[in-house]
Amino acid sequence: MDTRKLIKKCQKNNRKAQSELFHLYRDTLFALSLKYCKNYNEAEDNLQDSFITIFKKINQYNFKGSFEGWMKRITINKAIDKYKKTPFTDININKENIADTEIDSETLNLSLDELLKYIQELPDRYRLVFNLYELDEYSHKEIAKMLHISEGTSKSNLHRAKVILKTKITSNNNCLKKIAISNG
Amino acid sequence: MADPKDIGKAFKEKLKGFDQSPSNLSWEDIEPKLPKKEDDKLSYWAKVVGVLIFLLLLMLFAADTYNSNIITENSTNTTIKIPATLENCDEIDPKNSKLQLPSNEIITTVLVSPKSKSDINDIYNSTTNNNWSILDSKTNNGIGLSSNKNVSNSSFIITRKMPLSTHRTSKQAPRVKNVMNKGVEEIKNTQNSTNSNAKTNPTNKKTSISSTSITNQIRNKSDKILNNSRNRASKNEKFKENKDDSLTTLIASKKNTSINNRKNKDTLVYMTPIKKKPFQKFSIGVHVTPTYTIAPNGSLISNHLAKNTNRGRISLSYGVLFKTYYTEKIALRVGYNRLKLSNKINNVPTDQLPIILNDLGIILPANNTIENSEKIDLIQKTIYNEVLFGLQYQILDNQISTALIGELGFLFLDENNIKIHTTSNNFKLGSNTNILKTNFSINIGANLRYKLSKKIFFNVEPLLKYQLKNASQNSESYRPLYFTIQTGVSYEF
Repeated sequence: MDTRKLIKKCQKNNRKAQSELFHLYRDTLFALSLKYCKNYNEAEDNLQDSFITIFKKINQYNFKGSFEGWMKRITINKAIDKYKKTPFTDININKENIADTEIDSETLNLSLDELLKYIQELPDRYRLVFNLYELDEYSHKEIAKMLHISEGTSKSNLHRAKVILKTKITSNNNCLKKIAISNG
Repeated sequence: MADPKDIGKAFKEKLKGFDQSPSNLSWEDIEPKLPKKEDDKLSYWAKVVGVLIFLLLLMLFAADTYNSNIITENSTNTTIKIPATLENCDEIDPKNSKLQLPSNEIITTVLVSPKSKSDINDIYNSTTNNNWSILDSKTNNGIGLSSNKNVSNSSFIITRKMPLSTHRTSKQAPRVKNVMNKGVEEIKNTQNSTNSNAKTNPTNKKTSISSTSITNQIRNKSDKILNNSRNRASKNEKFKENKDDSLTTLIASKKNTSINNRKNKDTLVYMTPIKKKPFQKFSIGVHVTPTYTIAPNGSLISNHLAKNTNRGRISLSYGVLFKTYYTEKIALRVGYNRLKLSNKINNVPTDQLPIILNDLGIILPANNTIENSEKIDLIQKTIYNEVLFGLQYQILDNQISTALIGELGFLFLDENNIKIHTTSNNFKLGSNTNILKTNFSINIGANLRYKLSKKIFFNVEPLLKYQLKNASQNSESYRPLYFTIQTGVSYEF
């Protein structure tokens, strides 16, 4: 069915259309939730809350702009709402690693699950900023408004998120290399 | 070694197109949590039908009131007499012209007192040529021309029966009037609405009063009738002794006899309806309306703000009002208002703002920033086009008059916006998409009116208005209550 017709049916609260829409966008939005949430279960909860909000507010969608983008924004905002309320403490990072956030592609030769795991292990604020800026292309200004922090804080959080990721991935690779060497 | 890349970009490339199915979440988990819109729809239509029935009843009431005024007007100046028996016909008082009538016919009676024989001849010619009948005022019997010399100093009644539809009292009497010395003393119309037998009984002598055919009988048997009449009169000693008495005395005596007879054997009922003037008045007025929103619990903006301090603000509305008075006390009101409402939510936590904006689908304008430490107030403004239908019941009607008002308002959302107010910054956020486009309100209040001139009035109408539906799509109930003072002038015509 044409997406526009599907949306219109959903706006009329047609259950069949809602089910169809759910199955159409479930995987995309779940992947998005996985990136923003701490773990699999929280991602599922976030997905559920997001779809309920989407169907409640679908009448507000006026067919201007991407419908998928509109749904993604709701999903992201749901995740942000959840982690914004938790108290956050900045983490001290070794000065030697501050400037360097580059990594070679060999080092990053990891599976998707491993990559997700590294992102999910980031502190909440860093994870949100990293996802918003790097994966979903929000500007620092937008992030600052969404998270109600200053732009400077947003930049700082992003940098620290990258450093943490690099540190973890590099150290993990080094460990793996050592294990491989010791095993001969 | 491969080229180094920024870790962020590297992650983006790797995760591009990443999709994954949730293993534990299915449609069945979500469906029960979705709103049951079907029930809402039914409830909505039930309300619409209810409102339409209310309006229909209102219109029927107004139409009924209007029709009753018309009926009252038609019955004005009509004397209705319901005779119990036909024998009562000779008790008719000629002075008051209360003659028994067949249904659908009207008898016009004129009491005349000719002075000479020539007058009587003129009367006879004039009346017979115009379907009038001549009766002796004393006996109500017919009078013939041949005996007119004997009654030259007396008086008689001339009558004419006509169908109701062609009756013209004032136009047809004057031709007879011209030949009378005393002229017409009284003309009255009477109508018998119940006894239709009276007109059809040819054997009853009393029907001769109103029968056109009697004119011929009068002509042929005039002498005999006149003698009978005189004999009857001679039996009454009072009348004999006072032969030269005035007509007034004669009629007064007749009246007394008639009244006594009525007491004994008559059951005549006289009904004279109260004269009512038709009442229809219109009024049109304009007003400005200071409106104070009495902020209820909850929030029009977001459920997250339901527990925040919500304060009403005063705004200025305006409108027009048309009134139709169906009686002196009851008026139908139809009006239009440009209704502006405003309320302010104080001390919104800074960390709640993104959540609220997300609820509203609003993105904070890029050129505005809010510091963490700042206190935020949100001002919600809504503008409705309000169409009003209602009734007004007048309590006092003096120089200053008062009335009670009950109205039903149909609200159509026209504009709405949310403004943010901080210690350092004020700017418009955008529209609240959660507000319902249509709503209903019930309005009660009073009208205080001061008469500036005969047709111009100064009006003050304090009204309390309550929206019947949730104003917002938010799950928390929020039904605005507001107090308005409609102040303006009206013109009555």
